[in-house]
Amino acid sequence: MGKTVKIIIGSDTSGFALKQKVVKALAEDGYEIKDVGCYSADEGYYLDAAEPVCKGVQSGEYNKGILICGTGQGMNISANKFTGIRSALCYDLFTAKMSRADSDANVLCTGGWCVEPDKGVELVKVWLSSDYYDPNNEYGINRMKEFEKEMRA
Amino acid sequence: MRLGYNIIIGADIASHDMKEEVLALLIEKGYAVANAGTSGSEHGDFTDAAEVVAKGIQKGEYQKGILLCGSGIGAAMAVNKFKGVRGGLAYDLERAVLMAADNNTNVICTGGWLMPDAAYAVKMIEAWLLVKYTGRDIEGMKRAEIIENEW
Repeated sequence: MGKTVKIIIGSDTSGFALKQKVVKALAEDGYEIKDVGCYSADEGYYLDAAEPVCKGVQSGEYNKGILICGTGQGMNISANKFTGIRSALCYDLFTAKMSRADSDANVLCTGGWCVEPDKGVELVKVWLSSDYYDPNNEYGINRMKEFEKEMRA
Repeated sequence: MRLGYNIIIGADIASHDMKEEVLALLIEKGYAVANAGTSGSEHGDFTDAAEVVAKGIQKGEYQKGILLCGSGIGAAMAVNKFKGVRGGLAYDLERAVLMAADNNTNVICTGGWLMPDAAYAVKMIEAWLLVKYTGRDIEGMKRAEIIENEW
């Protein structure tokens, strides 16, 4: 498990340094990872990363998305606006694990200002290697699908 | 009605007890807070609470919402599925204040399992209520609306 997962990742300027570390660490672990930018610490708006990452997961081209900004907050709000995206904002290993186990999150957001680089890499790895305990939260996940339909009705 | 806000609070089963404490403390402090009423000590899903809170805000009945579940993650997922609702997730004052100023949030989500106690949760919620959005992310608000309608 793990290495066959296709991952898409993006950040804004505040999350750039952590994103670079994560990309490097995941590539070393043998993950297939697509980096949609930003590509420097000088330029990069959070939605220019959130949109391609969420669209990539929504279309099924990628299995999991990772988004990093200063706090992860703007990324998480916008990611959850997408149909079929269940995005979790995590700063620690417990919530990283729980967001997979309980809510089957397919996008992970975190904050470059909020986690130490090594811890950030570890939290991404824990999240990627954690599974959903089907059907742990079937009711909630189905309700969210209803909300998504309602939003676009 | 303190700060001019009508506020609504909801929880799931995991954080029902803390929500009762938070609600009582906020009312004691003079805030106008309604109870979403979807949880009890034996029942309550985060999505049911999120729906009541989000629709209350959409209707304009409430300006601010508070959601508690075990970790706050599910609540933040669910509540952002509603147009015009921007739910941030915080466990401390720093993040709460930043998401008010930067992210134009009208709902604060948190996790009862991760809060030291109700008094701290109230302190964090009050900080979030006090700080106003800077108005800076004009492009972000426009693009969020497009995502809500088209994606």
